[in-house]
Amino acid sequence: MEYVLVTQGLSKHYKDFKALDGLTMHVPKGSIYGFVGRNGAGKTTLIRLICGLQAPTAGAYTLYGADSNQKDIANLRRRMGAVVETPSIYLDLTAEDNLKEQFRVLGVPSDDGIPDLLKLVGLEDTGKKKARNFSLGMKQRLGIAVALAGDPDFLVLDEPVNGLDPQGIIEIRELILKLNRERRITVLISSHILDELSKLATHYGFIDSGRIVKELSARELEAACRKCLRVEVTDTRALARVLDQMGVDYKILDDGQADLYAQMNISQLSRALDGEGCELLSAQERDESLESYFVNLVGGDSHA
Amino acid sequence: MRNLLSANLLRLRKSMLFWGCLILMLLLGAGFTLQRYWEQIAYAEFGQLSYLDEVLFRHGLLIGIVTALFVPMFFGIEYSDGAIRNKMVVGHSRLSIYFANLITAAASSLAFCAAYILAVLALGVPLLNGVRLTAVQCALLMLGTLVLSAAFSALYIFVAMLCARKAASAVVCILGVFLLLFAGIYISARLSAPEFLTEYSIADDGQVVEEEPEPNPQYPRGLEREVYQFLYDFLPGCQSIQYGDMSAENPALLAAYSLIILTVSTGAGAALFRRKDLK
Amino acid sequence: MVNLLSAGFLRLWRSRSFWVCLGVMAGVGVFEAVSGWRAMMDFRSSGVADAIVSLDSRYFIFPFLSGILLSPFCALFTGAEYSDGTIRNKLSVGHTRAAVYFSNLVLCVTAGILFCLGYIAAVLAAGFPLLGPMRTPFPVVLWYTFCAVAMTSALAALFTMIAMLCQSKAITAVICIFLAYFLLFLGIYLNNRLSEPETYPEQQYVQDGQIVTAAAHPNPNYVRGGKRAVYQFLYDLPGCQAVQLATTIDTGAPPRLPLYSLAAVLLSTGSGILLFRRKNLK
Repeated sequence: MEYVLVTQGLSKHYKDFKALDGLTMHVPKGSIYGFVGRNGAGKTTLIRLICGLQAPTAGAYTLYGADSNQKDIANLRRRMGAVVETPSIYLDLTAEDNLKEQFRVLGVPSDDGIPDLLKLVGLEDTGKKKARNFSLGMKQRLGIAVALAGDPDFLVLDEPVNGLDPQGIIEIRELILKLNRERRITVLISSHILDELSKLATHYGFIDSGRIVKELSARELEAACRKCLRVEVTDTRALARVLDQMGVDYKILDDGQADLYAQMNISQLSRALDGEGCELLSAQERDESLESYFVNLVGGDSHA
Repeated sequence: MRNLLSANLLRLRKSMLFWGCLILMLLLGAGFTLQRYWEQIAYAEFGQLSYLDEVLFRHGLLIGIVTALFVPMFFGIEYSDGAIRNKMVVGHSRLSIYFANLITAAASSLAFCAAYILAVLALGVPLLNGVRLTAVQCALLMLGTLVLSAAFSALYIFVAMLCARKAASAVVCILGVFLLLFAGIYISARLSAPEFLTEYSIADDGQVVEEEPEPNPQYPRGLEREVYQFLYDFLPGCQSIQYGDMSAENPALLAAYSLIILTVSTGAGAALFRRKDLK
Repeated sequence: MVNLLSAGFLRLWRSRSFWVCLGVMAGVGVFEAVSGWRAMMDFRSSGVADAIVSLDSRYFIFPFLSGILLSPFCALFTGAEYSDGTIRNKLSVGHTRAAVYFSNLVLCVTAGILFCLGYIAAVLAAGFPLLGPMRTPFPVVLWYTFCAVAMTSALAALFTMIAMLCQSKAITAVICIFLAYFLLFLGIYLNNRLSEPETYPEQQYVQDGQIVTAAAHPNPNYVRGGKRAVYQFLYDLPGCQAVQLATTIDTGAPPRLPLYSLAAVLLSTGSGILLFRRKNLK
């Protein structure tokens, strides 16, 4: 597989605090890579490192196959766009002027692309309004527009929907999907809003205490999230006997409920329970959510 | 680098602060010239004349204060609004960002000087008497003040690029320049103390008798004097005082010192900025 | 209000800029005393009378300094409420805007007074053993100190007003610092203009060993009439007062000075609260 970004044992220490501790991750080309971790896990630190805002204490990364210690890494960054933490925009300039400014920074010879870019992020009608007076969602979208100014094929977004309203969240999600599908932009999104991420991501990296705990594709994740059948019965002891005989993994929840971790033939189960004098009241297929997968992975009391 | 400069220039064109400082310098130039002109009229009976060169180089005194306001505010925004990240993310090296900002700052301070000089010439040539200095002296003074303004810009860029908080860098730059100016006033006073104190007394017969001059204990001598003199020539704020009261005797030396300050502060600033962790 | 103050004093205690400013005041106090002592030694060793150096002249430096240091301090300390957004926390739990304003005013005034005390303590502690006691009678020193502290409080009120009305900390800092210096330079300028003699007196000078007498004539630089009244009024304002306090120690400070300071506190605070109550906060 071709990777846009690979990090090897990346570490960043601030005095005694290890923000990143030997982090290794792989972002495949064309993917939307969801970078999941609780607050303070090291998500933003990693993004700062790969954007060149800070130098790693140890380890290295490759961008488009080029090592971070090489000289031409700067030229490769030209193909990257990023929104780190808060949108990086001049608050006393209009949306258009902000893009003009970034076009100069990039050396884009003509400003012709600006109206299209503004339209893409839905800011075409802001006119002379200064960014200072934008809503949070508009600032976020302008930040993304600035990141897109160089027509990048790798976009890094740090908590892009943090603090947005439901409408704003949907807009950003659709924008990201559009960029990924129509322009083939690889996207790295950090987020702790897992539900939102699960609607987008094709790949996941789970980070905790500065390390990647697990890295997998959305398909693998789906497979890994065990399907389970939640059943309601009149007698859970009878259920347990039956399931033990059938060799099925299960978990009794309370007097009347249990989760069964297998693809079950319901009629078969019902007949077997009948034999033990127990009735099957209901059966419901359930997915283990991304959230509970994450909680299982990094251990309890998570803020995610 | 060219891209960064053109981006800075675009922002400069739209900056109210820049135009405000430019207009302030124009007004100050016009104000000083008119003040001299009115004094000449007011003291006509005493035969006092005002000359163009009395005000022509006074931007050397003002430029440190105006750029102390302009540089941290204009470049501090890059940190406070986070826009410096946009430059780094797309692969501009830290050195080129630092130098592009330095060049923009120096160019702006030269523009401020130009605005002042322009105003003085526009009003001063018709209203005041001409220049008493030779062309070479004028050129040297002009060179000295312009290099001084570049040195001030370099110092402020050093502060603004290394301190990520705009308000703090503004405070450091403005307090710093006033401290330097006060140092200049203090050293100037120390250096111009008379070497000997002469007391007069009136003798019994009504004749004034000049007593034996005594050495002034407040007069700095030897090494102390050399240190004072060096600081007076070397420090940008002290140079400002010299240009302000037109006492700069050796503008070429002052310009050389300013160049040293510019080089050292830029070297140190760029080296530190390369290692700085940005957010 | 009590809660706001106790929270504020905790923040003041932990504020680095507060301790830095206090340290600078104390440091300058020690420096003034020591440099006065060095000058005195110079004069003594060369046999010149030592009457020129006294603790008094070193003591009354602090009105100049307190305003200069207070300007960035008030701007940064009060401005942080906006930049960190903590002002919202206070308003949203039901503190009135007037209470928020007052608590910030009290903090800035307290800081200003502490800066003055920091200097006074340092210059006296170092200056007393080195330069000996003050020559000015104690009640006069007390009165002057009171005037200076009142003036510092007035400046604190002025800077608080600016900081509460301007949401950008950096702009507040710039305005306050420039204002502090402007008032100081204005004071120096007005002092020069007002102390011009009305007439040049009859002068005697030596020419060829003979004493020549020049007749008295009016000074064209002397400020007269309404202009003089305006100048005198401005000279009495806080900020400019610093110059007046430092230069009139022998002639006595007019009792109107603290009244002017009080008026400045009332005016700036009144209009500040009025405007702050109507202000749209972010």
